[in-house]
Amino acid sequence: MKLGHTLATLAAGMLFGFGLAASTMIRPEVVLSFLRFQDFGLMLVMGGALVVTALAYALVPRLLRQPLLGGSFQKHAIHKGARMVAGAALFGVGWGLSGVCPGPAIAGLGAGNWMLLYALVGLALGALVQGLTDKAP
Amino acid sequence: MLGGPGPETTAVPAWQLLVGGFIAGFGARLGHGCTSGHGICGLGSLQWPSAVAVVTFMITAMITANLVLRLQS
Repeated sequence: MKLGHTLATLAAGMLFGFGLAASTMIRPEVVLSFLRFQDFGLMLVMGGALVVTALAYALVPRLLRQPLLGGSFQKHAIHKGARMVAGAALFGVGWGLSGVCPGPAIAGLGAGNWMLLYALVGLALGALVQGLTDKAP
Repeated sequence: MLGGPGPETTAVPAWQLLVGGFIAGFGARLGHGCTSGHGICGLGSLQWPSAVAVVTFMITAMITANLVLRLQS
């Protein structure tokens, strides 16, 4: 990876982590209280992030001929089908049990919440086992 | 805003973090995305399969979180 890419990735990750911490989304209790209909902060954070992201995806390719760091604008591929829906359903069960999704599991470590290492180990092992047991071509 | 300079912690039991993390990690790889991947990047780029994923994991997460609450009280 070139230096520019490395720095841009680092800056984007820092901004993402800062946002997750500032909006208290790194706290499993806050996420769980959303899922239990007690606090709708997560909806606002996700909605706000979505608006900014959607605007960026829609406008930036029109304002710039190509990305600042080279290459071309493209969307990441989304896979559809029953497997994807089954994966999403399982993801929700794990998220609802732990109150932790992958981003906050990493960002929360920066706030000194070492308990999140349990979640991070679980996430990594789950993804590993999925790959090892996947029979799809 | 950030809750002061002290370290964060959580009262969610370790087994819930570990087992929940495992299921979420398995599901995120199988489902090609998580809250950020489908919820922000997927919806943000107007890819509708992501909307199906978001609705699906929101529903199963809400059911799970409420079941756990009920079993614990």
